[in-house]
Amino acid sequence: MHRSLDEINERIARGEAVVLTAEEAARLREAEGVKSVSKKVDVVTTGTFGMMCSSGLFLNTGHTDPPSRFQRAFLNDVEAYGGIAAVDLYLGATQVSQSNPEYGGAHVIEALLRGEPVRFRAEGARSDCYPRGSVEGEITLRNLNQAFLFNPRNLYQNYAAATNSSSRVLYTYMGKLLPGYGNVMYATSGELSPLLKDPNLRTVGIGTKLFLGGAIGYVAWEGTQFNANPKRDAAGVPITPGATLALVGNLKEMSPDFLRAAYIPGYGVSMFLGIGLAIPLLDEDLAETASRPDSQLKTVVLDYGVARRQRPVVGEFSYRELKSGWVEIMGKRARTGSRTSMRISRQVALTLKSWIKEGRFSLSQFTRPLPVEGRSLPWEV
Amino acid sequence: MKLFLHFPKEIVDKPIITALIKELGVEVNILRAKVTQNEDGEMVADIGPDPDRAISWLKAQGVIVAPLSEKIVKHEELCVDCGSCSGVCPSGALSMGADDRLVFDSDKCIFCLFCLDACPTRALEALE
Repeated sequence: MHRSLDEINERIARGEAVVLTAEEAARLREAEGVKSVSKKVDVVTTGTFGMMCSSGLFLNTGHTDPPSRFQRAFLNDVEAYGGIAAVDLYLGATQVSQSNPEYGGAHVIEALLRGEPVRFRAEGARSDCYPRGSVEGEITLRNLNQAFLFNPRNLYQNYAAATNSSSRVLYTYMGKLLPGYGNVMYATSGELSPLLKDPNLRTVGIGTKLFLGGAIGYVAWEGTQFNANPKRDAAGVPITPGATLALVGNLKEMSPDFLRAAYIPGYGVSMFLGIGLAIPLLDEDLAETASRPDSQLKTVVLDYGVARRQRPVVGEFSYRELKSGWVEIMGKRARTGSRTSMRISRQVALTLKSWIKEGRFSLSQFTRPLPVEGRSLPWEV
Repeated sequence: MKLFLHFPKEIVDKPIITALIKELGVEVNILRAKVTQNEDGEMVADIGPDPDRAISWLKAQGVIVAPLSEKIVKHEELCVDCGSCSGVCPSGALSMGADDRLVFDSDKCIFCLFCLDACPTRALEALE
């Protein structure tokens, strides 16, 4: 069945739109088939809550009197980048504190979001424009002029799972990998995963509105390391890392339920972030991909025991297998573990669904499509 | 009954487990052990069928004994239910339950402590 974006938005405005989460759509498909999903459902909401290292916060403190220029700035001892205009800063989520290696940018962002005061110190060269050399004080989210996340790479379209053939424990951003293929860790919400449900990026592009950290955010650009040509299954769904998105959203409107700092031993600081896309079911093809269940979505497993850029693929599993808690890899029964919270991923999809049902969130036409060609190239150095 | 046994370094060179089995005739299944000469030793063992007698006997030898189920604590306000810990839990004591919430089954725990530094929000703690 065909329906236009305008028709869907009219149905949302009238309170008539049928909105299901991607999990609900998968169950409907299993019970009644794709045609029924296509006929009955207008919008499918997705969600994920995983660690998104390539995230950070732009902030503006307002000018001091006399004015100062923040060339080196620290928030709770975590350095923010000041190589832009005088009191603009960028605080990266993975930047580590000078005094505590388990504390970093993500913790500062979470503290600000919770309304906690954050210690601030900065210094810069004195000039006729900026006579004051250094500033010390406290900032809170409320007192910042602007505080918006700008994340260069979020929402990987599928991500390779990880295992470890070596004889020692590896501490990676995919978690603790036990020796001798002792476990398999994965980092995608599977059937709820946003970009897996629109594998050809037909409904998402630059300018698309989405759920970001509990607020409405936007796609700013293609994400870094965007890969338009991942390995795909027969139906065109990526089974290796594909598209990524650069996202922007107002921290002041976000919620700590959907943004949490993380510390990964051996790797450092990262940030859990809840993100969800609403996919309009414009036709049966979109109904087919958006309602795909875990059993029909796959990922490859890479061996992190091989310390090379090209880690060997040692397995391929469906998300149903990975979510069962155990898989057999290289002839061995191994534990599986997720890096993504399914519980909060579901909460993202359900919240987005309720926003649409309440008429608070309409679907947007992007202003420019994402690239259809181009790989993420390595650097030979 | 699963027990956490701590051997002070003064007694770590004595064949205490052998004596326990011979004298009391109990069954001992060692789940985890860390013993180094001249250092305190630690062991996790499943002892039956009469653990109470074994516990008093072990205490008399100078072994510090604690029941295992009191050791791992999950801080609900920190846990995001991601599952990173369940992925390193060899016994399956940590698993994802209904509604994808983390479930901890203390009966299955072998106190390997793999989970502690696998948690990205530091929600798990081993209590002494």
